[in-house]
Amino acid sequence: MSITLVNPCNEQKPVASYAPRLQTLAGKTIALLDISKPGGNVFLDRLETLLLAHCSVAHVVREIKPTYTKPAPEQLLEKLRTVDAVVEGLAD
Amino acid sequence: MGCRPIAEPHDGAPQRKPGCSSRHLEPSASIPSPEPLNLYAPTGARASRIDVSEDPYEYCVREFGDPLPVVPPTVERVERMMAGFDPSQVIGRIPPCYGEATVEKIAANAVMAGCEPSMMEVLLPVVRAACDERLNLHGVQGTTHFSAPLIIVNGPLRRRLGFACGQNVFSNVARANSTLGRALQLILRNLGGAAPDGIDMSTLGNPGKFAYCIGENEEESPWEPLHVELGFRPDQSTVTLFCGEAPHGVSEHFARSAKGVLKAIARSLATVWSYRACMRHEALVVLGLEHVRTIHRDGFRKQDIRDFLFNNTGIPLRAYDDADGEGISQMHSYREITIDGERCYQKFRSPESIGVVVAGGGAGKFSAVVGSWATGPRGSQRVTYPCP
Repeated sequence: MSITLVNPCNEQKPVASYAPRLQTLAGKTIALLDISKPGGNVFLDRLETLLLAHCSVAHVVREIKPTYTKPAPEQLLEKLRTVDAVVEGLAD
Repeated sequence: MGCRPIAEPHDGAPQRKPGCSSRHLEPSASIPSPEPLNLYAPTGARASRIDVSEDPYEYCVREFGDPLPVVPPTVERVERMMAGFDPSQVIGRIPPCYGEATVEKIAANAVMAGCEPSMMEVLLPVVRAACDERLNLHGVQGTTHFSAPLIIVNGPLRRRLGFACGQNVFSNVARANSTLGRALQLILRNLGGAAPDGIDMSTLGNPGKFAYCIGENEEESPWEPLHVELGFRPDQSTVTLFCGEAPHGVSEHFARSAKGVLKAIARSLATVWSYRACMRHEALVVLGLEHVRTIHRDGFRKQDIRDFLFNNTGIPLRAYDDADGEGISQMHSYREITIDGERCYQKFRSPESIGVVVAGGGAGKFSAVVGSWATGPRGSQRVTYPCP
C-alpha cells in the first residue's frame, strides 16, 4: 500500500562548470576579493605579499564587496571576469 | 617560476560552501556553461509526485521536514489547500538557492505545517514579503547570526483566521500563529535550501526557526496599529516581516510612569547586537498590556514612545575605555548625547529604528525587545505587504 505525495522541495538543480584551472601563477593577474567583514584585509594583505614575493604573479587587484550580507553586484563581477583568478576572503 | 598548479578540478573542495558566499550552482565537469536561472518567469513547473510505501510520517521527517513530524502532503490535501489558485503561479523565488515558490509548492509546505486551507490568503503575501529584496533573505538565510523572519499580522484577518495576539503570543497558543510561522520556515528550508546543518550557518540558532509569528493586540491597544502607522487602512490586513533574534524579556513591575517603564526598556535596547555597537542595528519593542496602560496614562503616543527610547538609549562613553571590543573601532561615526547627566553614544540612527507593537496578555508588567540583524540598505529592512 503506497501513498502519493506532492514534492515540497526545490526540484531545479542548476549546474555550472568549473573555470579552467590555472597551471601556474607566474605572470597572471590575481584578484583578491574582500567581502568587507572585519579582518578580511589582514588575511588578504598577507596573501598579496606572498603572491608577489613568491609566485611571480604579474598583478594583484584588490576589490571589495559593498556589504558581506548580499551577493556581489554585477559591476563588481564584471571587473572580476577580466582577471585570471580570484581569491575571496571570507568571514571574520 | 615552477609554482605548482594552485588547484585541480574536483580538488576536494566542498561541493557546498555555506555562509556568505554559498555556492548556489552545483559544479559539473561535463556541462560547458551554467544555465542561468530565470528569476522572473510568472509560471513554473508542476511539482513531481512521490510514491511512498513506507510510513509517510517517517519518510517526510527524514526527507523534508523540520525534525518534528509533519502532515504528509498528499495530492488530495495539497489540492484542497490550493483550491481557487493557479498551481503553477510563481509567488517568488526563495534565496539563496532560488527555488521556485509556486502556489503548489507553497501549498505542499502549508499542508506539512498543519495549515488550514484558509491560511493560503496570508501565506502567499508572506512569501512575497520574504522574497522582497529589501528583506535580504539571501543574507539572513546564510548568516551565523540568530536572526529569523518574525511575522507580524495586522488587521481584521487576525480575528477571522484565529491569530493569537494576547497571552503567550510568542509561543504555542494558537494554530494560526504556529502553522503560518512553521509553513514559512519549511518553505525557507525546502525551497530556499537553508538546511540548518548546511547553508543556514547560524551559530546558536533561534527557536523561532520552528515558527515565529505574532498578531498585534489591536483591540486592547490605545494606539494606531503597525499597519495604520505605515499608511494602510484599519480595515486592511497586512503581514510584516522583521528579521530578528528571539525576544528578550523586560520586567518593570515597580515604575509607575511612562518614563520609568520606557527607561527599563531602553536599558535592554542598549544591548541589541552588542552593547557598544551603535548606529547599525534596529529593534522591535513589543509592549505588554500593563506597560501599555502605564505609558498611555501619561499621554504618550507611539511616536512619543519611539522618540523617548531614541533619546534615552545610549552607551556611556566610559564603556569604550577598553583596548578593544566590538563597536569601538566605529566610534568616529557615533553621535554623542547626554542621558541623565551622563555622556553617552546614541544607540540608534533614528527613532524609526525602533518599531513598536502591542501584544500579550493582560497580566504581568512585561515587554520584549527583538533585536535585528544587520539593517538598512546593506542589511535587512522590515517589509509590510497587504493581504488581499
